[in-house]
Amino acid sequence: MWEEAFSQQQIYRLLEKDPERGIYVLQSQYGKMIFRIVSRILPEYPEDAEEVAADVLVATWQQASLLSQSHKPLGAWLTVTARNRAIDRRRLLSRKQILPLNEEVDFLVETISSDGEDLIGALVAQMTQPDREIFLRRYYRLETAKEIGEAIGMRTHTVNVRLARGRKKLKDEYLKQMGKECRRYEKQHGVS
Amino acid sequence: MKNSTEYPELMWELHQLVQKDLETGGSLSPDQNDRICQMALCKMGADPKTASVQGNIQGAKNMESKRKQKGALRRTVRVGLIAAALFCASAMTVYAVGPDLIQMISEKIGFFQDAPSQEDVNDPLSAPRGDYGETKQALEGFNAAVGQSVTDNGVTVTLDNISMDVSSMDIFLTISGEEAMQAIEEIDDYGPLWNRFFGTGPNFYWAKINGKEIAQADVEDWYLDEEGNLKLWRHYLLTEMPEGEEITVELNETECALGKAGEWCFTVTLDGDSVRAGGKVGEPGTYFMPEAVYPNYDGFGSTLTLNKDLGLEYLAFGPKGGVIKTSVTEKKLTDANGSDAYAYEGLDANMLYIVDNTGKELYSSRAAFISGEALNLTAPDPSATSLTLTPMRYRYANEDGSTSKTRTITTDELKNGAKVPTRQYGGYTVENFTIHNGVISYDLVPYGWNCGSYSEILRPQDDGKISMVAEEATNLQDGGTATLLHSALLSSTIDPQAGVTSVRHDYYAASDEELQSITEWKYEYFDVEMDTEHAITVALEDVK
Repeated sequence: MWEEAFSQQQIYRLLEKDPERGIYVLQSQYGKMIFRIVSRILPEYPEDAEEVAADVLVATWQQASLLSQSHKPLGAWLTVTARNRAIDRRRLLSRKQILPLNEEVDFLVETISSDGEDLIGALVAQMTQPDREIFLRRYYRLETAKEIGEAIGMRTHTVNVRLARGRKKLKDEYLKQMGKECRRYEKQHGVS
Repeated sequence: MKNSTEYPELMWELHQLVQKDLETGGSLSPDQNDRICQMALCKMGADPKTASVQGNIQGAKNMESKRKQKGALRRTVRVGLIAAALFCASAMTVYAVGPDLIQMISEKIGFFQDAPSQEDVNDPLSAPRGDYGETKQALEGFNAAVGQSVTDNGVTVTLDNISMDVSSMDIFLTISGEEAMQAIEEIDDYGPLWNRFFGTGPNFYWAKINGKEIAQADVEDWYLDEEGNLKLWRHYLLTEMPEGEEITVELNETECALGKAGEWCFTVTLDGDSVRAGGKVGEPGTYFMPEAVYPNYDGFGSTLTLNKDLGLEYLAFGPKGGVIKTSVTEKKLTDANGSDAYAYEGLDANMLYIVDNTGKELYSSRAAFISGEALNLTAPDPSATSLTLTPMRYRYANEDGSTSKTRTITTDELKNGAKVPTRQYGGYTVENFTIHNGVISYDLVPYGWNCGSYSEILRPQDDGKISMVAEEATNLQDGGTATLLHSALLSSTIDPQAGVTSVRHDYYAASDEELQSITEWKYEYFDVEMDTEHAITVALEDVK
């Protein structure tokens, strides 16, 4: 790890002015984090994981100007982008039916559908601590219950219980909200 | 559609977690680091000069240090464009680079030339959906053949033609891949076969022009030619003037084509003067408009006031048609239930009645389910020198705050080419109403002002009259089952030059006899007022 980390504005500037160097700096600073998230969703396919990690770097280069203007936190953006890209790749591979079943990962993929992404985010944002941090670590950073427990000083079993309760609550709220969205859409567009 | 990155507090919290764990989160070997970087640079079309991460980090530190000493570092980096065979053949990304400096000329386009007419075949998989008479003529008078192909994972994508003027870009592709085609045709789906190709790619949604995403994907159409290849046309609206002597277009599909994973990337360079030839623009500007007041917007008596200033960002016409883009911003609200709701400030371009100084009305349109603020505009009279833009406002006739009244029209009236007045200032004339092979199709030809084109204008009253497909669905929560009934697929395409919408209702199981028994259709009528007091006139100037 470098003694003087580059700030996110410095990284954006590099990506715009000298993309090649910018990519290497981005990789040096966030590469491990990106790869860890991606390889947790694609544990069976390390080559695909590396390629998806490269895609995340390219996406950052493409969005550098916008990200710089919007002051979005880069670490969070990379986490969400890495996760979503890896999930998309996993879905593609699943359609080819060449992936063995992996309950833990497939649950995440199933839960985080593109329709529900914004709702899940909104619902997690409304949670109180420590549940919010537990869900951020689990669903965005793909950490195991053991890792979460060690990070926040909680027993693994307790983390699992909180996750299970929170999942049920998220699903209930999600189904309720999606039902409301459908009814609102129908009303606005006169669709039956 | 919002995503998690729109919730700032949550994202900053996530960012803090990331920053805390950067040193300890996971491991990568130096080889992996370099491999990932080189893969990324290959996808970006760059030529990685220095293989090591270390070397580049030190270089970057030196750069940052100099920048701080000398002020802003201004250096244009030209990312080299390279041919696939030379560099990326061993990688998963495949690129093609088009011929040098393409000019817009008169050239036949196979997508139109080689196809039968939809009227003859009545099958969207055998011919383009619409007639596209005016649009086809304009495109064939202003395009260039490219003829570059890229193959990945058994699918070959050929960029046949490209057309660009100051208002829009159009690409025409041929896509082939026997295994992929077969897989699509074998999908177990009760829907029409033509719809299975929707979204299978390549999509090229995020086309770049001179490195910027200023091409808003709009209409698309596709069909299979006699050899079983997919012919695809995609139309884009430009949201800014394409500048420069050379205009670089990048089309990158990095997900799939015909449902097969892979990458197909094209780069073509267009002659800037040729693209901008014959172009006219209106001066951008911000114009004050009265606020819009919505009484009882949430059904609980709350009043909502929104800024509706007109922020005209881009207004341009070329040989292929026109584009208008205004600035519209999203405003987050909370309704009486405490739920999030959203409203939009700024005057949407589709709320403008547009007439040129010869008296010709212009019609706006946009493909259904496309997000983005730009709209197609039909062309003004060739001698026109200005446009008058008159804002339209909704009145609120209903107690519950809704803005429309439901009206009825008969099938016989539609068959006879009736007018469907969706507003008191305009609507659509229905043409070519047909019931054939389980499909109801018709064209909606605009007149007056009607707030742009949408496919869901007419709703058939088919309850109890048609057969439907039943599907068993399982509730994931409690394992219970339910029977879902599916009636039809609604779809449309737009002729951007004419503003005409061609609509299809593909019924999954209903017979023509059942469809003939549908006697009524409903549509929404919106009460509006023309705010002539705040109309503005925009001069059209030749593009220099």
